[in-house]
Amino acid sequence: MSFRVPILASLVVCSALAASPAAAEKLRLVSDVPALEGRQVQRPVWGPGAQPQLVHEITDRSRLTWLRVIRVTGATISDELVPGSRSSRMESLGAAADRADSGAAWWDASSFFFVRSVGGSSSLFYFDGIPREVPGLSGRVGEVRSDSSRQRLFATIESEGVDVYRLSGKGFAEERVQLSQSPGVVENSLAVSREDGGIFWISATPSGTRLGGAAPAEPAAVRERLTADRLHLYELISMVVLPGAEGMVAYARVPAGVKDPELESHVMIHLSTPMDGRCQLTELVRNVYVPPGLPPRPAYSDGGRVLYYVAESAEQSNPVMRLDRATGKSTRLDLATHGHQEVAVWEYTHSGDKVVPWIAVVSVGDGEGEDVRNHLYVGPLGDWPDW
Amino acid sequence: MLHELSPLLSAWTVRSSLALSLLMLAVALGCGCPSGRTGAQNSQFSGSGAASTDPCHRSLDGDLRTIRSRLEKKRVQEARPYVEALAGCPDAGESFEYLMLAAQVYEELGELNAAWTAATSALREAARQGESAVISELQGRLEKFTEHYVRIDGGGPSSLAPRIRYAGAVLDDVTFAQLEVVAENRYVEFAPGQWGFWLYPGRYQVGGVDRVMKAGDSLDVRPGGE
Repeated sequence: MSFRVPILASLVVCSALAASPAAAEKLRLVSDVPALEGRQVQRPVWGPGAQPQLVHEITDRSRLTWLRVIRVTGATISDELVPGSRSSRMESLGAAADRADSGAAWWDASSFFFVRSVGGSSSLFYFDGIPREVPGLSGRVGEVRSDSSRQRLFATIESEGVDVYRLSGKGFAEERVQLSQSPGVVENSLAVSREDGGIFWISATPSGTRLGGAAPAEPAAVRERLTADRLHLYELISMVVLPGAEGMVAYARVPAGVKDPELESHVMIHLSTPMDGRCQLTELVRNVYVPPGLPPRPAYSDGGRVLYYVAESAEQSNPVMRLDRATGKSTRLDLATHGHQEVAVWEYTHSGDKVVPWIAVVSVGDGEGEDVRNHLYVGPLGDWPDW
Repeated sequence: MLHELSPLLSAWTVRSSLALSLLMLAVALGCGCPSGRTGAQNSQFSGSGAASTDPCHRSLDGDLRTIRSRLEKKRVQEARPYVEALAGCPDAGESFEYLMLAAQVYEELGELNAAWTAATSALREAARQGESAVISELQGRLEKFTEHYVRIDGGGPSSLAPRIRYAGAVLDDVTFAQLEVVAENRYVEFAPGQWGFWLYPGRYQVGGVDRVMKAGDSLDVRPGGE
């Protein structure tokens, strides 16, 4: 859903907070290409590697989504669409044009897994230049995540209910271990710890959400319900595990009726690494903007010390904010874009040891003032050679 | 009069019925089935009438219609038996229509090298028969190979094929089959004197070196070629 903002509003600078220096001019529009004619961008996901790259969804608002990969080499941006078919002839005939490709999860610097829904089926695919269906999986796949050892996948699969599975072995079909066992509950927003390969998830139940996990990712270590004070006051939407055993950060909805029956707002919360099934909960920021539909994951850099989010503010055109968890201070990023919908961040290194966060923002308009579709802008939050 | 004929009629009826029953029994057992086909119904291909001990005596036009029909219905696996049954038949080998359809079937099944061979054979036949429109279509199709797949240039049938192993996370049957073609030295000819293989894009280990090869990439592994 696009955020319609009059052009003049974009000229109103109204910020009580300091802007970070030299960030605005470095973002470039990367979605003004023929493949996006009449379509919108959503869900950018940065990938690992020496050069900045990301995969994002292209949607025509009818639930059909395609995937596009963008790679940055110096000042050059190249892109590649994930085709519907491996056959060039079938592709030219529009094979699987009515597909919904989503949930991209990077495996390594040159490939990622994703979920492809065509007709009534929903299958797990792998893309390394062509889409390859992961064989031997029965049931509808919801989402997928890989662990940092690149030995295992985690997926939500619907067979008798939706549950979390660990997949490993040859072709990821040799070993299929069910981790969650919760009839009537839908597990989603899988998040994997880089440190110990533990897996966490949000369980959506008829009476609200709860947090589950398994660290290590073994059936014996599964906790269907991790607890925290006041957790029941929040409806968890999406989350990410921070590196360095720094816990988890989640977007959450504060349901109407808790604070004010008229209002429902979104917040960002921090949950400490569970000890004996229990976390410490801290509310970090309120009035966070979370777009409708499948929610993006919280974005971070600097080992999780810095978080990025879109603040819900019509007057300020949904600014992108940077929160330093160490100081608790939020600053607004001075971007030339407006009407922000999503933000994604990943760190890349140049000149051997210079780590620079790269940001991708989904925002309204293509900079020319007439297009009100969601477009994608990317760029470094710092100096980057040749950019 | 009728009552005098009645015993004769009855006998005739009984003999006719018996003959008809024997005929139906013969049909059911598959003997002398009026299908126009020679030989016994040797069912090496399931369900379809593609079976024959001598496929080259089949109706080429009929089989081409069947192949087209299967392709249109996206049932390419069912088209394969017809393509394979006709391979090697003189009539089919001189039919650019058959060769074009074979190329389509093989490409959709991921047998890129067989598809290339069929398409180049179709191009030769079309050129020999002066079919300019077909030539143009085939040239476009062959160019698509260069855009969509990875080309490996090798030394040719008289040399050992390069050692290529898939190094990505998901090895599917089609990629496995493509690499078998390489391992078995079944080169295809790109142009006179230029031999090699086609592969899907992906991560491969070629001669022990990991490489990510994208659509349109080519790799020269001829001795002294890199």
